[in-house]
Parts: sequence; structure tokens; C-alpha cells
Amino acid sequence: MEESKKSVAAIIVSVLAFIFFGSLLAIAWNVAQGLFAEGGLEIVALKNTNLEESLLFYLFLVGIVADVFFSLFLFLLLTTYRQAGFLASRMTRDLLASREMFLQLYNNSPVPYLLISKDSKINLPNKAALRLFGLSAQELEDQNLLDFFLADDLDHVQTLLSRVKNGVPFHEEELQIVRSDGTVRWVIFSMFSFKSVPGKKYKSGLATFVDITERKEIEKVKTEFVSLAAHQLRTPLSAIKWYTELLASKDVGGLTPEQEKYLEKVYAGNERMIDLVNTFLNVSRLELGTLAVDIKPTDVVELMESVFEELEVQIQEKYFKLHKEYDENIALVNTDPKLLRMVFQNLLSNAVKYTPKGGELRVEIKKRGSEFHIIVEDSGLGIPKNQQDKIFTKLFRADNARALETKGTGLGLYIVKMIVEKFGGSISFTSEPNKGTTFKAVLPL
Amino acid sequence: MEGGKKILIIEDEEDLAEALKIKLEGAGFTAGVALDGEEGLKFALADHPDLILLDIILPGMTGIEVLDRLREDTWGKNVSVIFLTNMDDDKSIAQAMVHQSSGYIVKSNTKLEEVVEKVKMTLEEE
Repeated sequence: MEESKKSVAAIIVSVLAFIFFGSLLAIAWNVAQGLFAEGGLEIVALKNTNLEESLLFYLFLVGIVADVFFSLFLFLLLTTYRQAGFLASRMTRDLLASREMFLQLYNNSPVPYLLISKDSKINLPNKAALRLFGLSAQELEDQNLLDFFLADDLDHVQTLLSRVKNGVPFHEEELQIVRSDGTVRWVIFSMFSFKSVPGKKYKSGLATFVDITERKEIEKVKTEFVSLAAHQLRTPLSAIKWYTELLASKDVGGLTPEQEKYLEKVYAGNERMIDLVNTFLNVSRLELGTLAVDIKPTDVVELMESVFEELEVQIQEKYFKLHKEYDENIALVNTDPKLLRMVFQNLLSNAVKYTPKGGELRVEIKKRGSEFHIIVEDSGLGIPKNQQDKIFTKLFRADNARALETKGTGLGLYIVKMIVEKFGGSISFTSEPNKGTTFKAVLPL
Repeated sequence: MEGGKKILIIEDEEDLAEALKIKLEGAGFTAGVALDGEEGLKFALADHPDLILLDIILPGMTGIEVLDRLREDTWGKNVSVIFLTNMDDDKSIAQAMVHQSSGYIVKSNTKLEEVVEKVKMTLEEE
């Protein structure tokens, strides 16, 4: 029935009810008056008084008011009932439309979606997920998600899934999955739980995968090119190095003081280029993962001291106040000395480079539970507030660092972060422009 | 002076081999140069040098293959060999170590003087 008709019906029913109960009241009034008049009915206490008549009149009035209210109540009841019905049907329609829209978005999204149950089973894979895994919906449904990861990554993935079960989402985990045809794809794997959906069996979460295989391949080609170019550069660099050395050693005849000075500049420029090549090679190896981590018991204090020795000349030139605080109970640490040295070198040389003469330098190595902390603090330039979030980005150099020192690649802290994370540690810093910077690396023992 | 101890340089970059030869001879060694692996192996087996400076990337036979072949020879199995290369990736270093070399020098990171020092030290250790 149309809404307007329903409204008219409610009014008619209410008016009819009003007339019906009004008529009943009129009849009752007449009958009561007749009975009183005939003396067949009497109220003993009020017998033959005016009050008897007034009471009947008031009762009649109350009856009319009750009739009006009852009719109104009936009208309101009918109207509310009608509106509730209308609202329910509209909500049902909206709900169905919303569900339809959700399903269309879910199924046709270019991002692969999977619902993952608590026991890691795959439910409701969307079309993009089927394309990614190379399976049909029937084949993928109820499979264990863990079966699609590489054996080496299983522990890590299990940790991630148990985190989701405890309500902690994860984002942007770069992992590899194995498709049905055996090919391996790189993906960014994210997952969150939505256990608040009542009555649904998919209580674990929504997993999304973004295929980044092509990006990884491009990165690899780029990195391999850098590695190849760096190796190729080493041969002419070696020739320059050795022949300037031969010239400078005067094995082939003496040099004028001026010639000697220029030769030193050639040598220094070449050394800088060799350093650059070595840095590029280290970055490409870290990025390609071809740098084997060689863990052995290492005296980290001795390692730090050897880096101090390398920088002795620069430190002396700047008359730094040095503070070294090494925990006495820090014995040998299982780590890769070659990589850890790179961390120390980069942190220390930055502190030395960007702290003015007479400044302060503090280095601390301490043991805390199952970790050891390395703190390098300087009273130097500091990092501008608006650039602090980019400081570990590849090739990034802060404006004030660039202005002070043109030499520099913007790779040092990028390397530091990569190595620290390779060790399973973390790095953070606090910095106040023109007051100094404190870097803190936390590494597992 | 080193009493004319014989050093064989197997290095395909002529300029680098030349610089090494000059420096080694200046330090009192007798130095010979071979510009590829095969020639170097032949030279070594015929001339029995006291120490070989061996590049890894060589035309034809690689430095690792040269060392393999040397180790098959009665004289060659004990001769001191120092790898002299610009490859310092973990794989190359690991390969060199497996083949019992006496050292591993990255050319661009090492001064000629340091090469001579390393040669002297290796010969003294023998």
C-alpha cells in the first residue's frame, strides 16, 4: 500500500474509533441518566443531592477526554507502526545495496584480498587474489596461507599472524609468495583483524597483497648496474693510485715542491673516488642481500677504539672534548665486525664532520638486558626539524650539512639503518639545530 | 734487498702489472709478468717463482682455475699465492680462501707499498 493511503487509513481508523467509543459513552450516559431518573439506581451517600448529578456530568467529561486520548493514542500507534515498517524496509534495501556494493568493490578491487580464519585458512579470495596465486576460488578456499610462503620466511610470517590474532595489525611487510606454477612473486603483505564483526566465522582478519615483483626486478637491475660500474671503475682508479704513488715516491726522479703539491691533490681526489666506489658497492650489496653476515664474537669497545684511531687526525684538528663511556661488563658480542665497523665509522665521522671546533663528542656503549646500546652524541649542527623524517633516506643530505660540507653522498645513515636492521636492531635520534644530535642504536647481544 | 726472490705477476691490465713490476724490482725482487691465466700457469710451472700475485678476472682461464691447476702440481701445491683483485664480494673472497691462498688484496684499496709489505711478510712466513 502506498504511504499516503496508509496515512489516510490511520486517520479513518482513529476517527471511527473516536465515534465508536463516543457513541458508547453517549449510550452509557443516557442509560445512566434514565436509571437515576427512575430511581432504580442511587448513590446512597449522595442521594438526592446536586452532587449526584454533577458527578455523573464529570464522569461524562472524563469519558469524552479518555475517548479523545484513546483515539489520538490509536492514531499515533498506527502512524508509528506504519513509519517503523517504512524505515525497516528502507534500511533493508539500503543494507542490501551496501552489501552489493561492498561485494563488488571487494571482488573487483585490483588489490588481492583474502579473509584469513584463526587457523590461517584462506576464505573468500577476491579475483585479484586468484590472479596473484594462479588458482581458482575453489582451489584457494580453505588452503593454509602459510603454504604459500617460502620456508625461510615461515617463522616470520607466523609471528606476524599471531600478532594479528592479538589485535595488532601489520603493514608493508615485503615477502615472497610461491604461485601455483612454482614462480615466486614479491608482495607487500598487510593484515588487520576485525574480530568485532558479530556472528561471522572469519574472525581473524583481512590480508592484502600488493605485487611488487616488477619494482623489485627494476631495483635489482639498477643495483647490479651500480655494482658492475663500481667494479669497472676500480681498475682505472687503481692505475691512478699506483702511478701517483710511484711518482710521489721519487723512484722515478724528483719533483718540484709545486709538482708534489699537485700530485697530492690528484692522490686525494682519487682516494675520494675510491671511497665513493666502496660506498656504492656496500650499498648495492646490502640492497641485493649479497653481503653475507659473518657473526663472530667481537670486542665492540676495541672496534669502536679502532674507528677512533682512524679519525684521530680530524678529531685532533678540531680540539674536541671527548667523553667515552664503556660498560665494564660488556664482554665479547656476537656480531659481524665488518658491518658493525661501518655503523661506527658512519656515526662517528658524521659527528666529527658536523661539529665545530672545540665541540663535544660523547660515545657510550652499554649493555641492557639482552641488548647493547651504542650512543653517539655531538654538540654540532643538528638536523633541521623539518628534515628529520628524511634523514635515513638514501642520498638525502640535510640543508645545513650540505652548506657546511659539499663532500658527502647521503648514503652514510642509510647504510647505518640498513645494517642495524639487518642485525635485528633499531636506530633512533634526537636532534636540536645548532645544539647537537644524539644517535642511539639498539642491537641484540 | 730481497736477494732477487722471484715474483710472478699474473695480471691482464698491463699498466697495473707494470706498476707492480717497477715497485717490486725497486724493492729488490725479480718480477715477471704474464697477461693471462694460461700464460701465467705455463710460466709458473716452468720458472717456479717464490710467490705469485694472481688476479681473479682474467681472459680465458680465471685466477681461481689457475690456482686449482697449480695445486695439482708437486711444486705448485705449496707455492705462496696472493690474490690481487678488484673483486671483494664475499663469494670471491670465500672462493679464494677455499683454495688456500696466502692473502687477498683489493687493488684500489691498497698502496703499492702495502703490496710489497704483504709480499715480504708472506715470504718470511714460509
